[in-house]
Amino acid sequence: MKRSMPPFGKSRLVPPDIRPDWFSQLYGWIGGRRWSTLVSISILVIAALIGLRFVSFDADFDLIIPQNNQVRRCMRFLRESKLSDRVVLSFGLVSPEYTKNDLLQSVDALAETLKPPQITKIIGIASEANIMEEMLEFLSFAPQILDESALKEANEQITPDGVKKKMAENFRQLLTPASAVTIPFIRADPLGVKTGILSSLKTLSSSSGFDLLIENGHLVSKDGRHAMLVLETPVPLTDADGTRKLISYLRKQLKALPEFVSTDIIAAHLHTISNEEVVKRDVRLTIIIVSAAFLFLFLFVFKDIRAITIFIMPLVAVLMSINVSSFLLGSISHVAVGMGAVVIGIAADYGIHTYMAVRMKGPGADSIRAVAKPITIGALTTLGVFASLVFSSVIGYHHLALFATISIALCLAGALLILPQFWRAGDCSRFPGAFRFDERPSGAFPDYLLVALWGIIVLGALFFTLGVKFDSDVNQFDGSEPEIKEAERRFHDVWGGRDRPAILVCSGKTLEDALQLEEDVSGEATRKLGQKNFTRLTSVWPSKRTRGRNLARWNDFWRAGREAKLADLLREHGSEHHFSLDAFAPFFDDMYPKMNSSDWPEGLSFFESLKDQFVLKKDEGYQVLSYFPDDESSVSALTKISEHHSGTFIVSRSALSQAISDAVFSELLYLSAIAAVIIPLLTLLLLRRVKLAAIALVPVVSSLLIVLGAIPLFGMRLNAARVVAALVVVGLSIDYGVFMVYACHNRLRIGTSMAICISMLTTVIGAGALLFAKHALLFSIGQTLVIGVLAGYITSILVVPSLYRLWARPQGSSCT
Amino acid sequence: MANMRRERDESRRAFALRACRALSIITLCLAAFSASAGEASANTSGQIGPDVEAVLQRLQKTMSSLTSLESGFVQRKSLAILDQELVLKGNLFVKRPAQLAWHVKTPLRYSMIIKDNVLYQWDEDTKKTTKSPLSKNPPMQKAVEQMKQWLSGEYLLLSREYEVSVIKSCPVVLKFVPRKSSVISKVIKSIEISFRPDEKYIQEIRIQEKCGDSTRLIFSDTRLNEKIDASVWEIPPRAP
Repeated sequence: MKRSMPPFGKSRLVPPDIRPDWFSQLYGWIGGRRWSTLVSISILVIAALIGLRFVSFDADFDLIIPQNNQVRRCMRFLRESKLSDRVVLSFGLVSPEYTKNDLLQSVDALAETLKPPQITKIIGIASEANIMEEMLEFLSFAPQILDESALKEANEQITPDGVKKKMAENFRQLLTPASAVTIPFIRADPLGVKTGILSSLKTLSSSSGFDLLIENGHLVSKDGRHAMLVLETPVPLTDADGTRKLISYLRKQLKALPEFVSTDIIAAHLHTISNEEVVKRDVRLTIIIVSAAFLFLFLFVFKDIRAITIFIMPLVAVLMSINVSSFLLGSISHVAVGMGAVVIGIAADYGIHTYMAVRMKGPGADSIRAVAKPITIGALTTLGVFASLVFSSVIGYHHLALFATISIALCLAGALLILPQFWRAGDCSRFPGAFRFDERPSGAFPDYLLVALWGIIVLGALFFTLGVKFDSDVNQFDGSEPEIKEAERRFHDVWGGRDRPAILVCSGKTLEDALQLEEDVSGEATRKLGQKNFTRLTSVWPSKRTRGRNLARWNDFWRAGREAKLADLLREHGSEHHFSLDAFAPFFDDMYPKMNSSDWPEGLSFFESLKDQFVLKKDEGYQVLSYFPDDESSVSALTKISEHHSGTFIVSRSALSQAISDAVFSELLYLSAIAAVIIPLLTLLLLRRVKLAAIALVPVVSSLLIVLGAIPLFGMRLNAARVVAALVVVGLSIDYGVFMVYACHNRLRIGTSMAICISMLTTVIGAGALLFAKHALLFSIGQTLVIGVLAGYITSILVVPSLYRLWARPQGSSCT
Repeated sequence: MANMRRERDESRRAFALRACRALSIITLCLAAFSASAGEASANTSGQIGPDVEAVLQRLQKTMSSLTSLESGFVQRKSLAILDQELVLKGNLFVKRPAQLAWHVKTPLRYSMIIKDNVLYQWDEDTKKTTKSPLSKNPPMQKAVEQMKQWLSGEYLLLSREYEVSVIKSCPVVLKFVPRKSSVISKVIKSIEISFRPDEKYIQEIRIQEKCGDSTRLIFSDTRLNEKIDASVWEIPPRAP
């Protein structure tokens, strides 16, 4: 872990008889070639700087979301569903002087300019003019679509009263201004038997959750002041370079719009590049902050220009690590790189300790060898913590594990073998005086008071931990710039769509398989949720199996004398309202249609729209989507049903949130396992006494409780990033604890207590720099680290010595 | 019995709504955000000759001062679905910017009111009032929008959807033929509008439908910019 071990001195815990001769030999070998080594490193640095241009920073959402099977399946579905690869342009009128027609004219003019390769299709309402004809044609499929209950309803209407009532209703329709539109439907369906299908279509249309009107082929808002274009682009969501070109192209085209038209670009693509840009900006900012703070700290404290190299070494290590990690992984998560400042803060400690050793004893191998072992052990514990991240379910943390491991390993090698070659011994008299931690400084608080105070604080923190809540909102992982989120807010204000429905996905090798599976599931689903709350394609287009059955039932129904009976009743009661003899001929002409053998009704463009919304063609087959309210009870009910039907799964925001919560909870369990088992074991192994190990663990427990208590206290929520940051805090705190117990037990006069303090400060500076980050994840990591490291360090400095003196100091030892 | 009656009434209302909503459903089903498949339509802005444009501008200017309209009407419908002409008599009220009332007195009392973008309907037969946002009923919305444009003299705007020609100049008679890209073209073949000699308002509208049906709407006792009685906007309407 972060090295806080004494840079020199004898230790019962670190046996002095271990003499790494290989270390002296290696140190000497490099010392003989130090300038050529420097040149080599310089060349590597230049190469790494050039290499940065070719590093692929991956801002993919998947990398930073805790993964379990459900999350993975949801994310894969969303990624492959094409829904996320579309770009929406939302236009608005900014001046009341202009009308909807002015807006639509401008939108039309713009649409003309949007061309491949960036925009391959403008999704609109191509066939609005044919809608009536198409819908009338679609009603001819009613015999294949209508089920037994519809025929039962029809049967009840084929009576003198029923037909009489219907004729009166039909006649009333002729009095409305919209009668020209309704007459063809009355003629094709005098009893309204088929119009239930149209109601189902209406339900299907509203499943999108957006409020739209269609006017002359345009998507228009209800207030008539906004219009929308939906664009299809071949640029994948994850292609950052392609996205930049796409957005740049769109912005260029949008410049041609008149001033009275405002535009919002709504696209998941924007989040990809914005996250990447935000993290890059955060990395630049945090490195600048850390650089400035470190330079000030080292120059002010050490008053030696060579001390700058303490900082340069981790910077170089991080630079190289980015290149190597990216090379090995193919790309590197932006969040991993965003942690660069923290890694620098931690890795700088090795240089601080070797620098102090050289400053006091000179640059010889013996000086460095004296600190090499404790520094290496500390570094190994740090590496252990970061390496343990490979067990995390967050892929981005695997990247962080590799990135931090390489950085720390390089920095350790540099601090032990290279940097000391360029340092010289110097005056140490300015450094603060020594004191022994096993003795209470005169005038200090009594130990029992300190321990009691600590107990109160920890209990208080424990109390607040009861209020910890998980942040399961997917948006927490989105660090996009506020302008993008603001544009989306405006978009939803105008177009609705905030409460998007959940999706039940039914998969099959063929479309027929998928439709049949959906029919099997929908029976249970509609019983649980009700017809209105479960929007399914099979309500207007069942599987071939069902359509065949429906058609046979329809034919039998009318051939059983009902056709003639209805014709007689229509003649009789239609004449009361002067309906002509052939008024309802279209209904009888289409009474016995043939079975449609193809998958879809052909030539109906609106059905292409339905296919797009309800069916996904995959390499491995088809997925049929059904929509239902994304609330806890509905998702829970459908999840239970889905569990009994293989080939089905749920995609929902709330389910995804729950899955993320579960994943975060798993991460927390994992962290707890480390804290509760591995860390105590390691501590016991190092300290070899239960009491000492218990005291050394106090900073770990304190920092964890204070971090967890601070989360609700400051109105924050626990998320995956904080869990990982807490893991790092555990690693740092145990180091502080072990060191302090070590110092107390060995009665060390810590002449370099300042170095320990600086070590802590460098870590806090590295983590604190993240408090300036705009990306929410990096910011929350920074918050957690700063709180945790400070808590761990203060507990180590103040409480551990008191506890040691009260509980573990051997009898007869001196006590101040 | 009461239950059955209630069911019947509900069924009636449901059908009335269903039939009226037929096209709305069609239209709405295409409104799904991610569910559309065609190319966007071309610019539909109308090209009209300078002479026609001058006439339209003149008429539009004359009628631009219109704030309210109250008129009796006779609507004669020749429909293939009926074996005799359907004659509706009633009153029409328009109040700018967005109020419209269509009260039919014979052969059956029927009222339709648009107020604050809400559609109210009532008929003597069921004596039931239905209320729904106009936006939820696109066919009615389209019909009302067209009516308001015809009655308010927004002819330049209409030229986007129709090819316009001047059939007669004194008194003016305009002919509007729906452009092929317009949904109206599937229903309407042509519309002729005859103006009063003083060109202050419309005298008659003739609508020729694609299916052969035709409608004549003849205005009488037209009063412009006069205060409209508040009871006009009440629904159910007051007894005559």
